[in-house]
Amino acid sequence: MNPNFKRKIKSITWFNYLYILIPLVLIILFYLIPFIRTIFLSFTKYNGFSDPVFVGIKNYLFLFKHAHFLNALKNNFIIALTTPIRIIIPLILAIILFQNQGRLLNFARMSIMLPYAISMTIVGIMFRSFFSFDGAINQILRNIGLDFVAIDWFNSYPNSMSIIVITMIWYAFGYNTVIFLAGLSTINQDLLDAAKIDGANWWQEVRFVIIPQLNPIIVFLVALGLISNFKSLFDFVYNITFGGPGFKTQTIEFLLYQEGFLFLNMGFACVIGLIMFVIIIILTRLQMKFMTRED
Amino acid sequence: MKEKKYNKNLITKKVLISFLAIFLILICIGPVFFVFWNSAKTIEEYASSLFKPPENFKNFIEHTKYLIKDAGILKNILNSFVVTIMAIFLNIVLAATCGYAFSKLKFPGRNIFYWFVISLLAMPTQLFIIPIYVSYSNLKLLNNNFSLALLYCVFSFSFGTFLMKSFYNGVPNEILESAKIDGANSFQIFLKIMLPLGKPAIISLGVINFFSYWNEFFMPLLFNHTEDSRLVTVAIAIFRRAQVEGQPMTNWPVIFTGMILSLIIPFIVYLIFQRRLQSGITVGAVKQ
Repeated sequence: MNPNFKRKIKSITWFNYLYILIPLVLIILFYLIPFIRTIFLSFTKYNGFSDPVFVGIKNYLFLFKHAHFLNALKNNFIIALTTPIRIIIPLILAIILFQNQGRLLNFARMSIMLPYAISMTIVGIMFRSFFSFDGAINQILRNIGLDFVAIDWFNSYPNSMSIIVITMIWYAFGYNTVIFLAGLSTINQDLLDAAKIDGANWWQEVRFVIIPQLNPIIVFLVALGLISNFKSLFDFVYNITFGGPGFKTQTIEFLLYQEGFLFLNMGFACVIGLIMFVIIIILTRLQMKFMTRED
Repeated sequence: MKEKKYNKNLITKKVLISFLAIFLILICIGPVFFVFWNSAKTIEEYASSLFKPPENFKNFIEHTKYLIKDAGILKNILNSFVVTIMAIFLNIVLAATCGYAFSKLKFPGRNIFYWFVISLLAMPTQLFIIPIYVSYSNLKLLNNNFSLALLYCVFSFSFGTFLMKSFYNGVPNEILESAKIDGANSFQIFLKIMLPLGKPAIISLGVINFFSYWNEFFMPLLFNHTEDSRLVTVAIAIFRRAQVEGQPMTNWPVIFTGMILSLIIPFIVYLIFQRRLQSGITVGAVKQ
């Protein structure tokens, strides 16, 4: 190979870095530097205005003494436990929608994505109104004679929590159903036909043919659902309960907002951010492990 | 006899499926319809009956007038629109160039860089937001639509790159080779061939981004906090919270009207691009 040509190749290769230059700068400015500063600030007492004061691991020790941190973390885990509901309902729906045709079903298929198009904020406020004391749900309950069930939903802990969960189920089921439908359209039709010839009934088809082939998607959605339980509940908590009654339905995202931006306790808020980081790293590791095992 | 039984089963199945379909439609559209229905009531009407039809649709106009004049909702909607459009544009430019570079160009460390960009996908925004907030505040970048749009773009950049790369991976290399032989350099290939070819993926990405940007809450709540710079999602949430604290009775019809107004633009986008949205969000899941 002549040296001239080699040099030409080399110069082209370096030129290619220009394509990722701006993103690289943005990643350094908005991810790397803030990440390092978050770690630094987690060892300080900082209110956002005056200079941070180094306090060692005090913020980390404070985690366990904090009146609401463990409760908030517990809430995240309780909500995470409901992830299977958010996967199973869409899975059954998608299989039914996939196996049947009809004008009504087509319309249902169209409307199913609607919740996804509405912001979590609006959805949260909507459900807040439905479950308020004189809201739609209570009026329906009263009309059908179930007065004793028509309580003030936001006044006690497990109830206000369950409304966040109900809202999440409503918000997520369209998205999950659409993903399952896309997965169903890629499964091997020959296997299904073979199962039919062998006389498999509906349940056997679902259990032994469809679900094994959907496994990667199920793992993906479970992982996505679990991860979102530890980073994107803020909109719902803010708009449905605002952490109430008292501090009972706080989640760690909400606690970070409250400590950092309402109480200006930013050093401690950084510790909460790092805890979220660790949880999410563990979950993505688990997801990768499951995904590679499938292959 | 056997055929008859089979028919009967088929009919019950059809009836059951129809019920399910109606149930689904009610569950999805019902709440939104209920909100619209009740936005045209006065507060007294709302309190007395939620399910009766509104007496006069003029109330909706009255609420709208109030929201525009006294709460400045048009300004909020405009802010949302400006931020969303700017962020979509920035994101598409960056994601398309990066997706192209990671898919078709060769440079040392390409895979490491790509892996690094993708690993940012799951990162919680909250981890970075405190130092960024402090820097923005020191640099007087708070309450600025452009700096908020930049933030949106940065925090969804890895998804866009992933989507564009997986699309460009499907474009055969022969097309690039023949353009190279014709004397085009890599940038010309990008502008003249890859961008037009990538149009379907770019539209999908734009639609997904539209919804995630328009619906964003945490970042605008912190960064655009003055009344003039507030985005519409935040404005409605704050309006409702002020109602809870200040009034004896929450004025739900007015809040509902605000919600309907904030949903007009997303619904138009949804109706036009519904197919694109579905194909876009499924790429990530089906094509890992």
